[in-house]
Amino acid sequence: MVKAARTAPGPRALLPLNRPKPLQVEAKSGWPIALHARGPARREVTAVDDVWRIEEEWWRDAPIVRTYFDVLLDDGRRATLFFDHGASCWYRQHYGT
Amino acid sequence: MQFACVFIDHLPVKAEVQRTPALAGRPVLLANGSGAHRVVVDASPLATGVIAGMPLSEALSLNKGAALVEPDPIHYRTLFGHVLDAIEALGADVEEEELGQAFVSLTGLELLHGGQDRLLAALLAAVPAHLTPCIGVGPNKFVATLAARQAPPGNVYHAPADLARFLMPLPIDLLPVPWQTVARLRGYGLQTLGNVAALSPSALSSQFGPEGKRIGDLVHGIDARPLTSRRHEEAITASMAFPDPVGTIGIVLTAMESLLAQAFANQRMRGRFARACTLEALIFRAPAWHRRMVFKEPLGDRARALTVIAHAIQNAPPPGPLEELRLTLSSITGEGGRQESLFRDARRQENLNEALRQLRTRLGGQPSIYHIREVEPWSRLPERRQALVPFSP
Repeated sequence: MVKAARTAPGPRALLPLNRPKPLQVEAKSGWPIALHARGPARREVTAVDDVWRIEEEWWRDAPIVRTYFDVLLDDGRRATLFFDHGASCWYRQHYGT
Repeated sequence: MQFACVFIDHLPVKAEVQRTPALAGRPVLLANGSGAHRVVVDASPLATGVIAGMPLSEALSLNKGAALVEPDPIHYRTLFGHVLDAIEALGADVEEEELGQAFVSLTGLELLHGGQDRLLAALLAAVPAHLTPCIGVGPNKFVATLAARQAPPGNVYHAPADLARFLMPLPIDLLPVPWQTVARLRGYGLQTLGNVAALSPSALSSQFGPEGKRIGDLVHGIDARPLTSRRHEEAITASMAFPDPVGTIGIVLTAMESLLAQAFANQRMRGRFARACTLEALIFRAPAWHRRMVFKEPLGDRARALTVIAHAIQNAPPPGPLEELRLTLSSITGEGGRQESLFRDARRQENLNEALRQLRTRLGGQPSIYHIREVEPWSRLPERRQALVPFSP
């Protein structure tokens, strides 16, 4: 992940859209099997439809390396998750505006 | 130039007694406000020692058996409006000074009615007898007002030719100036118009500025104010009374829908548009509620009018349960089309800028208004493709 700016974004700041949000994910062999979306609610991953990897800014000390998973949850909804290899954390990310 | 002042003393109380005959012969108090802050707005002459603005508790302690009535300003205004309509029907120019007081220009009307006496008799007859009007006649509005205060109920009083003699003994409370000015005059030991008339114009001007000059003129019977005729505005009214006070917004909106249907079904609204509306409501144990709305563009159908009114009511609902609701559509126009622009995009931008300007004024300072901009649309990281950028028109 790219580090956040030191100052909190004010009304005149430029606010990126679709910022990833940290998420608690249960994984097995690096693949998500369940996630805790809000509070204790647990949603099982019923299918992983797509997987892809992004490597960006390899010239930096901490390059961006993510593995994305397009998953189907047990309540029928879809979600896009990624594992940030630099921070060793899971995130959920929305696409589009 | 001759003016008549038509004065109906205690019009609210008289209107209530007419509506509820059981109140006749009893002291009646009309009080506004709630809890310990209720004040008397009008009282019948039978209520002793009560003046408008007095706390209700004090008025009740002076009049133990008094009947307490919640004021109904909508009814009083409607009633007085009918009185003014009847006077206008005589061919007179009428100016409404305040509730219960109006001026009529008599010049030129005497010939129409066969003399001033007949004209004044017609004026008295135009007012319902239960309102017992007093009519004062004088060379200007101020003198006519003072003459009306001297007239016995249901009669006419002509200001005498010797104005100085007429005005001198009258109290300074009758001057049409703010109460603070009257209090200051009293502070100087001035009790009557004669006391003030004895002062030099320069002394009055030095103490009260331009108002001092006006006071100096008035106490000498000089009043140059012209008569400003009533403005006639076509209006369509619909009203609804609720058997039980209604406090739910949903029911109020349903009632509003029904009133709008009633108003737009009126023959006079066919193919026409309203630019403004007034909502009035009697509130259970609270002062009447009044709200005027001017539409951004004339509205010709009830659905759009309901959307605008519902939005306004939801933002600022009435302060209590409603007993009666009244809707008046006004500024009615025959305009049936909208002016479109050839330069639609420029117009849209102008409208957007104007909306933002209003938003800034309303919210104060710099509200957080953004628009979405593509930053790195080619990026594989979704959070880098677009951003919210502060909007600057």
